[in-house]
Amino acid sequence: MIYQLPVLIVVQLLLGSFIMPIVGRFKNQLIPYISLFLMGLSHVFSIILLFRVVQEGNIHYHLGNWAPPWGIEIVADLLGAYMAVIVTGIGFLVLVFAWRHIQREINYALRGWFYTLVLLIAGAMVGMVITNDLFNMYVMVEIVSLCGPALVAIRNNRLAVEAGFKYLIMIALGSGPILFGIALIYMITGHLNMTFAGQEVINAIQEYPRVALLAQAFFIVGFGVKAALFPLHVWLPDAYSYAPSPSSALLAGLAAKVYIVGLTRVLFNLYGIEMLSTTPLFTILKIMAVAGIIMGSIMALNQKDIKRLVAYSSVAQIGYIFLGLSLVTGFSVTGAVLHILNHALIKSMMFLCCGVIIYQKKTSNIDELGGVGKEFPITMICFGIGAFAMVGIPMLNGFISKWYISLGALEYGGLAGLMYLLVIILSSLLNGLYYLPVLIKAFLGGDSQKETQIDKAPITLILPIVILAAGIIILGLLPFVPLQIASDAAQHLLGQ
Amino acid sequence: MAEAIIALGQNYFFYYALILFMVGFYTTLSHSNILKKIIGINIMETSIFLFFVALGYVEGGQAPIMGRGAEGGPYMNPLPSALILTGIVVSVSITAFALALMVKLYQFYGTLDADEIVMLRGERE
Amino acid sequence: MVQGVETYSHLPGLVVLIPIIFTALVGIFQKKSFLLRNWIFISGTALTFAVMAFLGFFVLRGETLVANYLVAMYPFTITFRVDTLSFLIAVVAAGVWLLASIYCLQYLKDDHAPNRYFPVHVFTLAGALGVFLSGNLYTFFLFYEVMAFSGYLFVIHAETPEAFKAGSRYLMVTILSGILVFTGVIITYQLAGTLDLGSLGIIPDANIVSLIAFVAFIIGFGFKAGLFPLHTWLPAAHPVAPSPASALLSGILIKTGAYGIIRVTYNVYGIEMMQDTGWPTILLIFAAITTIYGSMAALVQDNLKRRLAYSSISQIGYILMGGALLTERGLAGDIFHIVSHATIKSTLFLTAGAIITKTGIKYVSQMAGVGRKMPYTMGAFTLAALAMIGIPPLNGFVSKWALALGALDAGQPGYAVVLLISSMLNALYYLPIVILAYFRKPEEGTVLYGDMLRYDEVRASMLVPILILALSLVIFNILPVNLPLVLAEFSARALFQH
Repeated sequence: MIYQLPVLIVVQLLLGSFIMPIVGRFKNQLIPYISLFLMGLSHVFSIILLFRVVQEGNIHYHLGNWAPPWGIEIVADLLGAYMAVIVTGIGFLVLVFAWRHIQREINYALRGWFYTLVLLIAGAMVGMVITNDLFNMYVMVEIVSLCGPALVAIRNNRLAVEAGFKYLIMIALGSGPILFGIALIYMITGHLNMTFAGQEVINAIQEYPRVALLAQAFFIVGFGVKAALFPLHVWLPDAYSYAPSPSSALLAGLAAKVYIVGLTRVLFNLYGIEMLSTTPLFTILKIMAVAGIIMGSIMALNQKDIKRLVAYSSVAQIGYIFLGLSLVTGFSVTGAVLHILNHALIKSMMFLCCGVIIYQKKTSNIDELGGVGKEFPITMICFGIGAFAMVGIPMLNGFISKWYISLGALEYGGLAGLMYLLVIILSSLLNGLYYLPVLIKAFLGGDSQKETQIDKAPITLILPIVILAAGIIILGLLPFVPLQIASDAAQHLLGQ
Repeated sequence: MAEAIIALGQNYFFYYALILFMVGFYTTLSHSNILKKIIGINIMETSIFLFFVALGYVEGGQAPIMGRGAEGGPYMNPLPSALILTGIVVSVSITAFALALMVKLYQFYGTLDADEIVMLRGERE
Repeated sequence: MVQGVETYSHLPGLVVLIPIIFTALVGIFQKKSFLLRNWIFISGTALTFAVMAFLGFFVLRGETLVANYLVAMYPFTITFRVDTLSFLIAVVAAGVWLLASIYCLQYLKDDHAPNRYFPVHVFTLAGALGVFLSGNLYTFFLFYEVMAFSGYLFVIHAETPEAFKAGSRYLMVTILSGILVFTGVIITYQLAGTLDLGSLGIIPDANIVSLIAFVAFIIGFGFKAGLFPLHTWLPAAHPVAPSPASALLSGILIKTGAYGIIRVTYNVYGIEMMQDTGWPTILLIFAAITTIYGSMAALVQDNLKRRLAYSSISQIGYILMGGALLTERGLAGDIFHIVSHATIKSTLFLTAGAIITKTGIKYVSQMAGVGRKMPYTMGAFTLAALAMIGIPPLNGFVSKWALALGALDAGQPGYAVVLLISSMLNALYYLPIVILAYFRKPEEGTVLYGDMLRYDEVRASMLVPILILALSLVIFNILPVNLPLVLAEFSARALFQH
């Protein structure tokens, strides 16, 4: 049974999403419960899968029992299982958040569709990270790409629809290049299975060096648009700010990351490090990553809207992950993989907090949010924990990943390494500069005579936020398990 | 030089695909009408399908169907065609979704011009 | 005394844990009853001090107490290390904190946000002790950041516009200091492979990268300590905080910066490398500038607390000079001055607070006649002022003497001259206050005119801590064994062994 777990997770989530509209037709109130159940079950399965992979190594599954390279192969390796746990876990918490109160942000009639979309996107995300077949990955990428804008536009107001449309067009512009890249790879290697193609591409690159390079470029552009790599990130601020908060949490925390993982798989598993080092690929990625970090932070400084601020901050954090990956040292890749987890926790939590506060105060303008910390202490304290984690205070998980990426920059060595360290340090400074005023205003602004009250928000909204915040602190103090997994995954990626 | 021309002649469909891709890309980015943007995306995706399917061409091959009496002999590669079917489905979904959003945009903004929409959105924000 | 035998003990961790637990207790019970809160508050700080003093038994026997937590998370283990230096500074910190806590009860009786102040007061103690008792750079950095951020709540307590402005500056400095120290820490880890503070030099060789780390450390810690030209936040922040908090900020919190520099210089880089490369010379020069600048700026301040803040800047210059001179006697004087300045400055700030509470006077020019009205308070102030100037047999004299000797040892008599000049400047800005308070009659129109001049001291709960602090300035130097000095000399010797 274990060997079928990877597929089981994907299949049950996809099937679940398909039956949602049917259930909605007959028994509307069952929808959240079924979704929660399926997502929770998937989460449990992914944890079991992760344990199994840690102990026994990769799990191969051949779809329909057709062996590769003719059949589609699913490989659950460390990175894949790790991502599956993250996706289903945060998906579950977001569903808990959305359970009773999604109607705050979405028309009640559309809520069935919301659950459909969430299950669909979660299933596709898991599918994307555990597949070893290029075209299968493409299909999963497309499913996620379609669900993303849908989750944004489901809010059904003018801003959300426009943001969703823009997101869709950008995503489609990204799909084209990815498919083209896959076509090129197929052309020169004759395989769609990543392992086999990887073996072939070593020969192929002698004969068709430019084609391989072209394919690389297409992949970077394609995945880069979807992952919001600077300067292809322009859809992100609008999309994340106008979407309903559970969607933002899901998209910001998970969607952007799985694309990065997809790109990582293609680059590292397919091409392999040695080959990539002969191309200027990593240099370009590094430059784009650094630009993303700096520009994202600078843009965030100017924002008056809290969700846009958090969205721009995401651009910067995605830049970190790219920087870690493109520095290609053991420590930096470990830091990048770890940061995928850490940032998912932090960002999802922050968007959920925003959701709570915006609904209550009816505004998302920072200047008008003074004193909100006194009405929603738990929520704002968790937001504060998230902000401090981004700045890099020890004892919180952000510090750990920042440490490893910095160490990776130093390990990279030379003047360039020191410069990357400087960039990371600078971005911490900027992080502090734009988050701390928000916190100060929240707790110390507004009516100073008001006493702190018990948090007004309902329990199903607070619980996921608190769990995520607890996760942030625990992972900051005891990062051992994710750190080990990230480190091993990094070793695999770097081919050691 | 001569080899390049020969190669050009033999692989003409690559160039058609590439040109179509550029056309589609350019259309999406340059036109401000939303419907045209969607059409541009369609063109782009179609060009890739063309490219991929053309990859499957095997000189002198038969249609890849196992029928009575059909034994050896080169077959066309069935894989790209199968994959592209999936790809077409994806493309159709994107188009359908985009069109639905376009209708919604028209409801909200009263225009299909992207520049005007941006302006309207900026105004009333 | 026997040299460093390492003993494993959970006591250091306990010392840091107690204030954290009591913060929670204060937070929980403060809404119920003021009296209960006060009792919990005092017992928390008293208990911390008691355990801290208990550690003295081990330290005096020559043992170094070590505690490791979360070892599996290497290198993110939380390590505490109580050697002579840590113990000395920490026990003084705990003691001053206790006295400031007693003082707080009366001072903040009618405050507008006591429910914020009291927990923060206790929590910052945990942060400061964690810094002083830390055994590796990670623990140090952790508590350093925690303490710095909770210190912010001290600064903005008054919630006036100037408090917020001072607070934003403080926050900026804290963040900058944090990231610079982070740079230093991570480069150290890269070069040395470890973050442990137990040895005398873990950086393998002196190249451009380790220089960058050293500079990052100096600037980062310099921000916190108030080194020129990174001091600009200090004169704004210390005065706007409530007086007990100012005492803690000036007396203890800025010392964490100095402590950091000492640990970095002697435990991370090691004496030999520092002497070979001569990098501390930059520090030395800036420290000297700080000393003179602080004193000169203090001369022109009319706001009493601002004058005291600039005086702190000047004294930090002394402390950093002593550390940068790289001689054993200089370091001993340096460490002793950390301790004595803590007590002196706390006395000064607490008396300033007492004067503000009783008379509302904030400006030196209005202080005529205060000595008649509040003789005990002014007496303590006078004693502290004399100590700061360096009159024997007060502790200020002892530390300046040792620092001057250290300067001569290092073959840099110029710095001894700097010390002398600064002492004279000290006299110039402290003595007039004393004279004004005791010997001038208040003019018409000032606060104390007429029958406001009756004897009217502050209540005992504020006076007693002040007097105890003032006593501490004298008593150790009169006793046959000057315990703090002995401990300081011993710590210095420990850091100088090869």
